Amino acid sequence: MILIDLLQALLLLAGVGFFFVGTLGILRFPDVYTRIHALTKADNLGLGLIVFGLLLGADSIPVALKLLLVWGLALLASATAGYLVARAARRRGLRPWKARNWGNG
Amino acid sequence: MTEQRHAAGRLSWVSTYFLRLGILLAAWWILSGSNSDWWFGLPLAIVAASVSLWLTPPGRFLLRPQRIPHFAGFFLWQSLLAGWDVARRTLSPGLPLQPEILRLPLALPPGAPTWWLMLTISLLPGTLSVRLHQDRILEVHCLDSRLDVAGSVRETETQLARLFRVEMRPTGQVRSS
Repeated sequence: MILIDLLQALLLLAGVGFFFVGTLGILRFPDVYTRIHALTKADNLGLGLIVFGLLLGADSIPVALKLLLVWGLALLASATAGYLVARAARRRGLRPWKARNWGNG
Repeated sequence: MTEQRHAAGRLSWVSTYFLRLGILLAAWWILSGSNSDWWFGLPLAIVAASVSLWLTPPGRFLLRPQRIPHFAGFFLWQSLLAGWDVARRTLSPGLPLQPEILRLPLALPPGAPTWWLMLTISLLPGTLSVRLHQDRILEVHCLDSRLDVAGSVRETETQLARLFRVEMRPTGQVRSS
């Protein structure tokens, strides 16, 4: 039981860490496209790790399935929202930030 | 036999209705827990399945259930790599990014497989769907153009083609915009 508790704690902490990194990415990354990358991918993994951590402590099958459903719906929502924001930015002619354009982008 | 018919035309309204009804009932069971209030959930699922048929008529593609575990494994592993990759770039002091928008010709047919591709690659390492053109060109924003972006998108297409049992058509060259 101790081992399971330990694994659960590790998964939950790692999940929180990835959420933190996703937020840091919004602050550090240079434009809307790269920020969407940071947010969708880091939060996807962060939520996934938290869900798997909680699965270890789930006491019934519906609860476990509910956790997986939450993750699945969040993935669908973040991928769809990320695409809609990126498409809107592209339609408005927003050019992606380029590494060589330091200073004038 | 049935699979050939499915591949040729649209799925039938009746089978699509019962498939969606089944999914909604399963969702209700999951959401309501063990003390399922079916007097509310059952009529709700029946109405919701009807509305879904009205909003989204039956498609032409059917998932192959026996392929789902394989695709799920691919997706989970790639999600792990994606989160790790973006975390590494965020935390490096030098912010190692070389973003670019690539124009990739798609090999998958339009409809469900293309939608799944666009959603999936947005969660895979370094790629983000930006815009789909009429001529089956997908604009993909990548975090690092030094990586083999076209190759990993093609790999995802291959996985989805197996999941949906569809043919991939030959495509032209990748261009950057």
